[in-house]
Amino acid sequence: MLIKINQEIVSSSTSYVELTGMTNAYDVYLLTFNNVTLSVDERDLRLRFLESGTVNETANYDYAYNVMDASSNSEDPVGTSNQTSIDLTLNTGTGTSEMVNGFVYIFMSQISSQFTYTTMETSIYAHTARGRGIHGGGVFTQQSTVNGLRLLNLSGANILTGSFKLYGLKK
Amino acid sequence: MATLEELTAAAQTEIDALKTANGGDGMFAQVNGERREFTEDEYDQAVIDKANSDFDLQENGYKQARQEAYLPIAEQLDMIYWDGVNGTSLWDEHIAEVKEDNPKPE
Repeated sequence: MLIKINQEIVSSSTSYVELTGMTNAYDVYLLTFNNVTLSVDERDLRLRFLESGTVNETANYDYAYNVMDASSNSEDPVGTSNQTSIDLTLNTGTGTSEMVNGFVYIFMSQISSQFTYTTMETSIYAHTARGRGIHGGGVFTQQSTVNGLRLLNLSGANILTGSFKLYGLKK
Repeated sequence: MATLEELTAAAQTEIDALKTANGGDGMFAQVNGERREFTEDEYDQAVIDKANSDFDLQENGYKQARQEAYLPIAEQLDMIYWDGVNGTSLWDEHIAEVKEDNPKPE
């Protein structure tokens, strides 16, 4: 059973969205995001975590994902370590109907002696005017307790629209 | 090619101009159902993030651009086969065109 913890609905240009309320009441959390559009072409939605209410902006994020493009051209996997955020998309678009929808499961976030783990699935109608599917995982390589998350773009693009919801999975 | 320091200076100028105090549209955070303008610390972080992102795009953006421009692998294999049969060089020309259109930074 999913218990909604927090939500933010963006309808005005916003540089980041923050969702808090993660506690040890749940072991696993689910972030959903839908109808997400960015202000600049070929930009990405990214994820950072909060510890005690403070966002961690250091190079403590590793991630890897596969990209499946509707051109039937499965692109090379993307993988990188020691980043300052986890990438959730690949080259969003600003054209008609170009947007991002997806979800992220978050594990181990409430165990202070462990890293925080994520898995994600994202569906994009990309800047290439083609559908694109992404699946992968990421790790926040800090042994800490996470109490929230932030969604943003790093290169100055704003979030124009989007519905962001954080759920806990009932123990 | 711009250095990270040069890109940081450019990001600083761009983000300073965005501040409402400087007549810009501002950068905003949405937290707990409220939308508010960035604090000075958040503006400072935005400069760092933008400069690093722009530097990465400058250094590595061509890789993604090439991936998107290359034909699917199956089509490339077909091109290679028919180039062998017909004595043409369509596959070589395709690869060369993608590389030329999306050059690696010098």
